[in-house]
Amino acid sequence: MRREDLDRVMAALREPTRRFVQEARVRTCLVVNGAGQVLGQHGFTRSYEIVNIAALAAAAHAAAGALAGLLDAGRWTHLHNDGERQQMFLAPIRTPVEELILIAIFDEDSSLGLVQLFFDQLVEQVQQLPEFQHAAASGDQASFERDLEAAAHRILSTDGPGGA
Amino acid sequence: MNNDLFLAVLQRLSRVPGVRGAMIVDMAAGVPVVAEMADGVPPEPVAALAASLFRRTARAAEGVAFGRLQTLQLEADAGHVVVAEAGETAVVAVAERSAQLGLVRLEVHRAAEALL
Amino acid sequence: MSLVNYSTREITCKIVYYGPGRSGKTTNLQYVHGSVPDERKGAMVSLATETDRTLFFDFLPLDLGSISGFRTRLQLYTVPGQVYYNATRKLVLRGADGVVFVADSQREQADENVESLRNLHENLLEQGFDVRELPLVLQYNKQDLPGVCTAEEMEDALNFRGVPSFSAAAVAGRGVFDTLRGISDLVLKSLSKRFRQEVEAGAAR
Repeated sequence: MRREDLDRVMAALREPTRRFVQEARVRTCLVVNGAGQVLGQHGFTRSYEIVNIAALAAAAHAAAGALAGLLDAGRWTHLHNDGERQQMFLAPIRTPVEELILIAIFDEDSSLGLVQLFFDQLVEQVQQLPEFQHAAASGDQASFERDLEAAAHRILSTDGPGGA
Repeated sequence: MNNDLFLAVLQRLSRVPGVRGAMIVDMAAGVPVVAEMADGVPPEPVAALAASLFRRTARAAEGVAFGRLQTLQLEADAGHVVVAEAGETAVVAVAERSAQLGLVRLEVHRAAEALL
Repeated sequence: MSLVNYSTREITCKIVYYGPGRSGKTTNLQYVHGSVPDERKGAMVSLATETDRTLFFDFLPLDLGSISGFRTRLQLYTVPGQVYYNATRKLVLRGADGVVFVADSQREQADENVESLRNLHENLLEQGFDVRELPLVLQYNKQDLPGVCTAEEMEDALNFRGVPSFSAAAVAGRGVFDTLRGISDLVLKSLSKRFRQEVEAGAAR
């Protein structure tokens, strides 16, 4: 994804994800692409966390996908981890152009059912966004690394601590 | 956790005149455990929202020292939703506007008690 | 941490291919996979991005056959090279018995090689590895490209520990098996030393 596209895509995702966070009552959420590049975040205050979580979530999603293939399970609809203090919901947002991944962290103020409910609505909204209808010409492989770094810097300067 | 018991409870509740659907909800996860809903009433959103509302209202009730929340009742143009907790689960009934609310509430309570 | 099963007489060792992005780690594994007969290898798993950059790891299980009466298996892993994926690299490094550092001989990658080696050192320390004892070899890859650093220049820049090093052009397969043999040797020697120590310690009790 080229840097100019990144700006537009991030701007387009801002309102749907803000609404999701509010209605699903989650604490924090991240939207990343398949490579772990951060496209949106809400609620994070510590920058180093975002990059690590994004990379690990993309890896977890990829590993789960490989497992699904081996098990002939069909595509997973979501991953849910129930922790002692918080829960994590990880699910793909499939658009005509690419597959995004949403990671939502929530506690007893929300619930898996609530998150799923508003996630489904988020998916419908994102699938309609013009930015996800047609693939822009993607950058060459040499710009891949630059874009990953740029995404990390960008997400922190525009969406800032505390998110929307 | 007894599936036969859950089904028996729901079937009895569904037979109350005006009840369009009934379900048992896992309160923590906000997902249906067992549901007997009429066509067109989606169990998952109802379960999520009913559980969320109940938990938050329960906290409010405790906050003003009203004690334990027993029933949550919603009244809308098209009908009623009645929620009563049963430990880690809750019983939810969705009823038409014309239903006898007192009867529905009674049966929801009975169902909740049967689960405890 | 090698898995040694005395009852089934099997040894399994984990070898991680480390290095900066696009230095040829995945290429090494792909070449090995393509060259080893079916009965000696398992399926290769590659968790990659759409642009074929390693996202999590590549994995290739190999069967070395019987060594000193033990059925010896190697599990080869690669890590994602980009700086961004450090958290993921740490996961893949866990339990490593040996590391192959794949360096990119192109002059413009000199800084990346140094930074990646430093990152490896840092991650090993953080995970409690004894960096002096952990088997490590260096591979100077892309020696087939024009104008790259010579093996001597790469030695000067990177091999301050004096570990075994190998020139390679992984795309063509040059040096790939030499490197793999080199690291397997070190790993198995290290295992054997530990085994002897354990046996001696057992005898002393």
